[in-house]
Amino acid sequence: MKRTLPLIITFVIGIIMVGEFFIPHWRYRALTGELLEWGIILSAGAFILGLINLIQVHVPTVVKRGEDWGYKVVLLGSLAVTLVVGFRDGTARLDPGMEVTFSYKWIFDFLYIPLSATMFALLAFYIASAGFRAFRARNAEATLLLLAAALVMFASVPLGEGMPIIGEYLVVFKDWILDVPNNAARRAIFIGAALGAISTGLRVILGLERSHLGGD
Amino acid sequence: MNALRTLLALLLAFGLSLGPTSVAFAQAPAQQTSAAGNDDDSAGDDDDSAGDDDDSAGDDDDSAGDDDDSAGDDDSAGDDDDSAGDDQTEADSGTAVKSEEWFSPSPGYLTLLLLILATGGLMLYFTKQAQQGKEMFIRRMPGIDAIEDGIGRATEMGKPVLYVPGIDDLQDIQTIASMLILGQVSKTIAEYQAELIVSCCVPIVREVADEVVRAGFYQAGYPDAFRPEEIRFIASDQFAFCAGTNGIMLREQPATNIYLGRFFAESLILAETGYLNRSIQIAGTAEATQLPFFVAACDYTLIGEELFAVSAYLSRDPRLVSSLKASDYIKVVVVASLLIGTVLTSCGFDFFINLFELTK
Repeated sequence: MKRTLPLIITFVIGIIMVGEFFIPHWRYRALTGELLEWGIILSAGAFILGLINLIQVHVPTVVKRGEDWGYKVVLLGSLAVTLVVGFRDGTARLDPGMEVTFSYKWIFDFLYIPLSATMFALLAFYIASAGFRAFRARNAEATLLLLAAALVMFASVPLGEGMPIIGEYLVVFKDWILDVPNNAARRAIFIGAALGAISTGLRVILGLERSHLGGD
Repeated sequence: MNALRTLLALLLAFGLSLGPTSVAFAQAPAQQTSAAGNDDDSAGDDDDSAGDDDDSAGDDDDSAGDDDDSAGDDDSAGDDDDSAGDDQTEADSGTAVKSEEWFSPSPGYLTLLLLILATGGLMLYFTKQAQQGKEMFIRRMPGIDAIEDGIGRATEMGKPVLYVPGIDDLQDIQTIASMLILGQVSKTIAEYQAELIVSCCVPIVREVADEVVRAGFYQAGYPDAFRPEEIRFIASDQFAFCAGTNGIMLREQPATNIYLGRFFAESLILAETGYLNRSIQIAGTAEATQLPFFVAACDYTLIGEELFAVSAYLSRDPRLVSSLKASDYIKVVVVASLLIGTVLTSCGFDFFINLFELTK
C-alpha cells in the first residue's frame, strides 16, 4: 500500500494535469487550477522546512566552533535580521513612495541587489576563461568553433560591420551561421528533449519509473 | 579572501530571507537571470541567445522544437501552472471568456494527443516484450558512464560527490528527471560508501531529494549511512544559491560535481568554480542556452534528451530501457513528419502542416 498509493495518486493527478492542455472547458480548468494551488501551498510550506534545514546544517557548526563557523554566524544573523525586519515591515517594501530608512526595502535595494549584481558580474570573467579553453584550436572541430565564434563576434561589433567592402557580407554570413546551422541544431535538441520529456512524464505517470519511490 | 567570503555569506543570508518574497516562488523560474540575457520573460525564451533567431529564422514561435514546445520549457510542465492559475483568476474575476468547449477545435491538439497515446502504447508494448525476456539495446553514453566513474573517484579520494538538481521548481520535467537520476546516483553512492551532498535551490525540491536519497540508501542496504543534513537547502534566489554552492565547492572540495536539471546564468559560475577546484564534472540539461557553458567547463555533458535517458541507463531496468525504444520510434515518426511536411508545404500543399496547428 505504501508503494501502490503514491503510484495511484501520480497516475490520477498526472492524467488530469495532462488533460488540462487538451480540455479548454472552464470547469476542467477550475479543477486543475485548484490542484495547482494545492501545489503552490505545499511549496510555500516547504519554505519553513527549508529554514529548519538551514538551522540544522549551520547551528551545530557554530555551537561546536567548527570550520568557518564565523561565516555561519554572519549567515544566521543576517537571516534573523532580515526576517525580523520583514515581519515588521510586511509588504511596505513594495510602496514606491516610502521613505528610505532601515527597512526591508533598504536591505533589498542597498544590500541584496548589489551583492546579487556582483555575483552576476563574475560571469563575465568566467565566460572569458571558459571561452579561452573552449576556443583553443586543438583539433578540426575546435578550430571550426573558433573560426565561427570569431566571425560572429567580429561581425556583431561596429568594427566588423563597418569594414569596407566585406563588412556587409560578414553580417550576412554571421546571420546565416546563426539562422541556419545554429538554429537547426537547436531545434534538433529541442525536438529530442521534448520527446524525452514526454517519455519521462509517461514513465512516471504509468508507474514504470519508480526510482523516486526507492525502486521496486 | 575573508572579506569575499563574508560578502558571499551576506548574499546567501539575504537571498534566503528575501528570495521567497522578492521573487514569487511560483514564478521563480521565469524570472531567473540567464547568461544569455533574454530569459527574463520566460524560460521559454532562452533560445534567443543566439541572436534574434525568432525574427530571422522565420516562424520560430510556431515551429516544432521551438521555445513553446521544447522539453523542459515552461509549457511542458512549469508554466502550465501559471496559465492555469491565470485562467482560474480570470475565471474568478469574470474578466475572461469562459470556454464552454470540452475539446479544442484545432487539429494540432488531436495530433499531439495521438502522439502521446502512441508513445504510451509503444512504451507498454515494449515493456511487455522486455518482461517476456527480450533484450533491449541501449547505446553507450560516456557521460552517464562517467557518473559511476566519478563516484568511484570520490570514494578513492575520500571526498564527497556534489549533486545539483538545477534551480527550477519541482513541476519542471528536468527537475523531475533529475530527481529520478538522484535516486540511482544515491543508490550507487551508498553502495560505494561515499559521501553525497545535494545542493537545492527550491525547498520543495530539497524535501523530495531528501526522500529520494533516503530511499536510495535504504535500497542499497545502508539506511544508517544516510545523513539528512547533507541534503541542503541553500537559498531560493539564483545567485545566493550560486554563492552558497560555490562555497560548498571551495570548502568541502568535492571530487565529483554532477549538475543535472534546469540551469540558467549560474551554470557557468558553478561549472567554472568546479573546474578551478579540479573536480570531475558531469552536467546535463535541456536548456539550449546553457549547454555551451557546460560543454566548455565540464568533462562530460548530457545534451537535451540524454538527460531524460540517464535514469533508465543507470538502472538497466529493461522496462525503463524499453521506454527509450518507444521514444526512439516516435522520434522517427516526428522526423518523417518533418520531411513530409517540408516537401508538401514546398509544393504548395498546406493540409499536412495544418494537422499540427495549435490555435487556442
